[in-house]
Amino acid sequence: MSTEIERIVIAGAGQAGVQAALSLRIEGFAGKIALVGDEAFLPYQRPPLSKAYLKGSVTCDALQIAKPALLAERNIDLHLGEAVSGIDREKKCLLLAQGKALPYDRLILATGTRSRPLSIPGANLPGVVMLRTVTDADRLARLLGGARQIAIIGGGFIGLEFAAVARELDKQVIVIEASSRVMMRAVSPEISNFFEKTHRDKGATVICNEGVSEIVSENNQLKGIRLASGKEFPADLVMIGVGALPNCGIAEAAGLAVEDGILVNDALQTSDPHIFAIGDCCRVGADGGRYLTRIESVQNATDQGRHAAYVIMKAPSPYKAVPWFWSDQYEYKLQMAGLIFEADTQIIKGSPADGKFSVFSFKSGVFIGSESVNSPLDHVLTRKALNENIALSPDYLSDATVSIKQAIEAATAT
Amino acid sequence: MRISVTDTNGTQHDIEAKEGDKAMEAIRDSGITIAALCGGCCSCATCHVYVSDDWADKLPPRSEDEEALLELVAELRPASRLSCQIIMEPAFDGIELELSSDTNL
Repeated sequence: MSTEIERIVIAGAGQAGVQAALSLRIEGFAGKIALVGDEAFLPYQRPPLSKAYLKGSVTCDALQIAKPALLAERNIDLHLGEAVSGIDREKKCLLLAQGKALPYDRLILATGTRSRPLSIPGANLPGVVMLRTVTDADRLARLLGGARQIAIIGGGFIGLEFAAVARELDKQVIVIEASSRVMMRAVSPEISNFFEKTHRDKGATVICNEGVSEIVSENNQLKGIRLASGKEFPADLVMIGVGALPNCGIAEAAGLAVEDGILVNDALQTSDPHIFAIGDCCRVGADGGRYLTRIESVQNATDQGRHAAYVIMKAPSPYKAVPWFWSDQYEYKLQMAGLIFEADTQIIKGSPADGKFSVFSFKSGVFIGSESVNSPLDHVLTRKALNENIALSPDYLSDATVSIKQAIEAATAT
Repeated sequence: MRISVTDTNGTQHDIEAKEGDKAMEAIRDSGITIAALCGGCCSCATCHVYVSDDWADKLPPRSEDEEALLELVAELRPASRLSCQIIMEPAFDGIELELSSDTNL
C-alpha cells in the first residue's frame, strides 16, 4: 500500500498526531512528514494539567511527549502555532490559516477535542476558566493561588481531579453536576458513589441533579454561581468542565462523513481513503468494530496513531485495542479497562470502605470491563483478559471467595 | 548523582539526577526517549527498565502496584523495574539502567 506515498501530513500535534509521526518512521516510512499543531508549544501530555501540573510538581518541559531532538532525528517537520483552515481534497493539500498549503499523499486528522462551552450568563467573566490546554492550566494555576471559594461546574474527570487539587490546597470547593451522579458517562454507580463520598469526606460540597443557570457578577467582578433551583453559592473562581466536543469542522467542510466525531472504518480511514482520523476526534462507526463509541484517552490516541501508521505502511487491518483510562483523585487511583456502558451485571470485589476495590462488568454473560480503585493488579489482569478474549464466568466470579485471578485461571483452564 | 542509561538502540548515556528525583524523570529530562505515558503515576508500564545485576538487589523491593503493572511488559526479567518507582538517593549514585522495548514511542 505504501509504494506511491511520499508525503504524509498530520493535522494535530497532540498525543495521537505525534505517535502517528513517530510510528510511521518505525514502520519504515522514508518520505516527508509534516506535523501541524495550532498551539505554539512542542507537543505535550494533557492528563497532568488537571493534576500534578496544577500543583506545580511537574514543569511544562516535563510534559513534552517527545523531545525536539527526537523529532528532528526522525525528520518530522513541525508546523507549530499554525491553525488548519481546510482540506483541498482534489489537489490533496492541507490548507493552513496563514496561507500555506501542504500537499499530501495521505492525510491524518488528529485534531482532538475542545472544551464544550457552557452558554449561560457570565460564562465569559474573568475568573471563569475551562481546562484543556497548557495555557488554560497556567491561567488556572495563577488564579488558584488567590482563590478561596471555588465552584466547579461539571462532575466529570477533569472537574473532580481539579476539585481534589483545590481541596488539597485547602480551598472551599463546590461541585455541581447536572446528571444524577458524578462521572456518569464513564463509570458504574458504585464508582460514582465511592468518589462522591470521598469528595464529601475531604470537605467538598457535591450537588448532583442540578444545573447552573448563571455565573453571578457585580461590576464585572465574579461573585458566585446561581443554580437552576435558585440557590446561590459564592465563588471567586469558577471552573467549567462539562465535557469536550470533537474538532470535526475541517473534515465536515471537506465533505467527509461526520457524526459525533469524524467517522472512520475499522482501519481508521475516513470516507476518503486517503484521509485517516485518529484519537479523540474520530469515531469508529462501521465494520463491526468492537468499540463503536468515540473515546477520549491517551491510550486510544497512541494506539490509533500506531495503527494508522501500520495501515498506511503495511495493510488495512481492524483496530481492536482494548480501551483503558485512569484518573487520580486524592490518594485514590482509578483505573478502567474496557467500556462498561452496556453492563447488565456488575460484581464488586474488595472493600469500598477500605478504598481498595474493583467493579467487574458483564453484558449478557460476557465480560466487558473493569474499574479498579487502588487495585492495579485487578486492572492489569482484566486488561489482559479483555485483550485475550478470555470468557470469564460471572457466576463463578460472583462467589465471594473467588478472586479475579482465580476466575481468569479457571476460564483459561477450560 | 549519576545514572548510566543504555537506550533501546544500545547507546550508553551518563545523565545527572538529584536526590528525590524519579529515575524516569531524570531520563526523560535528559532528552533520552522514554514513553512514560502516564507521566509517572504508576499506571502504565512504559517506563520499564532493567537494572544491572550489581544494582538490582540494592533497590527497595517492588511495591504491589509495581509488581502488578510489570505483568503488562513485553519481556519481564528478574531485574525489571518501573523507573518511575525508583526514587534517587545518594546510595544509588552510578546506578545502571537499560531501557526496555516498552519505553519506545
